[in-house]
Amino acid sequence: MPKTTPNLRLVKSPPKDELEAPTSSRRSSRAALLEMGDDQLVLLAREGTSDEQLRAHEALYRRHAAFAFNLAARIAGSTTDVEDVVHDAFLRAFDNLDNLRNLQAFKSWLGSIVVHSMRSRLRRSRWMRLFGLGHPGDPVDIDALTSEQASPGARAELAQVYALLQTLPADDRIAWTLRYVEGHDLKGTADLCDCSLATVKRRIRRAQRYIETHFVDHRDDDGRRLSATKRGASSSKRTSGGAS
Amino acid sequence: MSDDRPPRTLEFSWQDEPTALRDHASPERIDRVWSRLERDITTDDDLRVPDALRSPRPRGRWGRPSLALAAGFALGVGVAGWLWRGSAERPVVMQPAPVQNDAPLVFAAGTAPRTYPLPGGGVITLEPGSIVDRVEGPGHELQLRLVRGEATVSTRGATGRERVSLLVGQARVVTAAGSMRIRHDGDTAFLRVIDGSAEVKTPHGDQKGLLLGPDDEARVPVRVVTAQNDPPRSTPRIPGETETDTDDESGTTEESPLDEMDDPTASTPAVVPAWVKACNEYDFAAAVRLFAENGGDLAAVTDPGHLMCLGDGHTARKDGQQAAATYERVVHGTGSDTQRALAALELVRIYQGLGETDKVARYRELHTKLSKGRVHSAEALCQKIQSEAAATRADAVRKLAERYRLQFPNGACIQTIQQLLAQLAAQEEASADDEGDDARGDEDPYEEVAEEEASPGGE
Repeated sequence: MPKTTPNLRLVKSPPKDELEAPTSSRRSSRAALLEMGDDQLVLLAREGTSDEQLRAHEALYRRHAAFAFNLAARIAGSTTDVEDVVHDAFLRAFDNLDNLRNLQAFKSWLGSIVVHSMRSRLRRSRWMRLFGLGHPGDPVDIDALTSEQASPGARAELAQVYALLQTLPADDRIAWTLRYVEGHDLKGTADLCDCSLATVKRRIRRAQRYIETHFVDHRDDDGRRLSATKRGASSSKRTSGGAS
Repeated sequence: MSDDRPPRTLEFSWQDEPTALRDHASPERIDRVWSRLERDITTDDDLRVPDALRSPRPRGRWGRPSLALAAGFALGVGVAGWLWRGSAERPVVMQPAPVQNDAPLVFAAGTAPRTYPLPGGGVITLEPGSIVDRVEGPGHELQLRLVRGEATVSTRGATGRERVSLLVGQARVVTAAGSMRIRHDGDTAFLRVIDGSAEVKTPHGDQKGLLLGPDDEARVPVRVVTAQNDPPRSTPRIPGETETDTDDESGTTEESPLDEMDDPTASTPAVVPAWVKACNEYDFAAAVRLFAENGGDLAAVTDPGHLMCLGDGHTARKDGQQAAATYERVVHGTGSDTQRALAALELVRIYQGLGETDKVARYRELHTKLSKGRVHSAEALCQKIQSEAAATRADAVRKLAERYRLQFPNGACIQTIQQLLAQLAAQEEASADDEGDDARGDEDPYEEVAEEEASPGGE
């Protein structure tokens, strides 16, 4: 069976004893890294030798990269700049590891950095749009958001929801996306948004109301698809309030 | 409407389809970002994180209103300034400004266009997904290699260097002052000179090359796509140029240049000789064998990289005479100084083995001359080893490492190479052992916090 990932990397000025370490111990240390918890990796990244730090950084990165990529892409609604966001988030996280108090919470801490970064970008682009400047914001890239396995209905719904989300304030948009697209629970959403549970509930509720009002549901209450002409009745039946 | 009223819970199809949402974390993307991160992490602290990223995590919520006001004001001023300058769309310009010796070895653009300053002046703008390597150039020449994508090189105002070479496959475009846009299309490249002039040399063209002026465009073959004994392809053509204007050594009839431009996919049949493929796969011995089966006409091979490959193959087969003949063609050929220096070094080694001391002295002197003052040669070789290691081409790593040891016995990369080789050995040992050690996946499902969770409106 062929090896999958090379994971070869270079380290500047590695300590001599590391260079001379027996091969077997190097291998076992690599395997041990994979089995370490986040708290141990964070400790190693803080206090280890330069080689250990790099290995710990890589282990943390590879463990949580998928989470960060998906988080950023789903908040943005496109993959534009996602790599830059994730790169910057990890860099900032690694640079501030000393500030992390709960070592086991690296993932949610990293997530909050990604969310914060995305929030800044969304707010910036929203301001730009208000002033009629620059780009009109990242378009919703439904092909980037959905997989090939997604049903046409799911694709249509996601496209519509993201189009609505784009008109919402960044905080509300992020909270709703984390809750209903990413599927985090309320506490996880609050942690990622770096705000209280009450605040995140408020944000989600605001976004939810707006989406309820404007979302065109193509299904009736029994789950059957509705034609466009029926949506008014269906919509009015479930509309609970104004949005904006 | 009161906020306490529970909202109707919308049900979406995607929530019932676990695979509806795309997984954005492809292995390539993860590796790509890690390589960027790794470079940043291992760089000096002062250069590592831009100031904008140095702030700790988001500030406490009590400080936010005043901060938001200040930030809002600053943003307003910034936006007004931006508006005043009337710039609609501009690519991202990387800071800080260029420093000759610290300029990056790889220029890359991810999802947005990027503009990098070039050492010695000028800029290079990359379209999304483009990669350009900085390789060595002779003397004061900056040499770049367009690995993929599209780049615009502008050398206007550059004073610290004579010219810029842009390599695309086996073609080379040289410009002294001006700007040009070039796109890598696989077997061909599309070149447009915006201003100034550019000289194009292709793997099949003559040594003189073709000179393009402002607004000239050309589609350039960038690799040998025919079998060894096939007639060579044409030099690049300028649209509108007549057939007789081009320097076609083969005298074969070519299709219209415009046709070629309109349909790049139809321009060249992608037939790469088997021995070249073997070269690309670092199977040098096989390359020599296949080359011999294909006629073995060494005089027809002009590419220094291919010659080096054949020389390495002869060396692997312990055929010192043939290896020497091949390396001598590189040394006396038109390759870069780096390639010629490496070939000279190989010749030193071969002639040492053959006991021909006068040739040893001659090529040692030539090697010293070709390597003289080339501050980046060690760095470039180190970089090459790095990239081969990342691609897990163990043979190439070992060979290049050996070259590095010979060429730069006190080089700064020696220690790194030692560690790299140790890692390589460890990995090979690991792969030979049980696979369970490293086959463990990075499963780390996002742990759900168990809490009694009401609907958002249920508080």
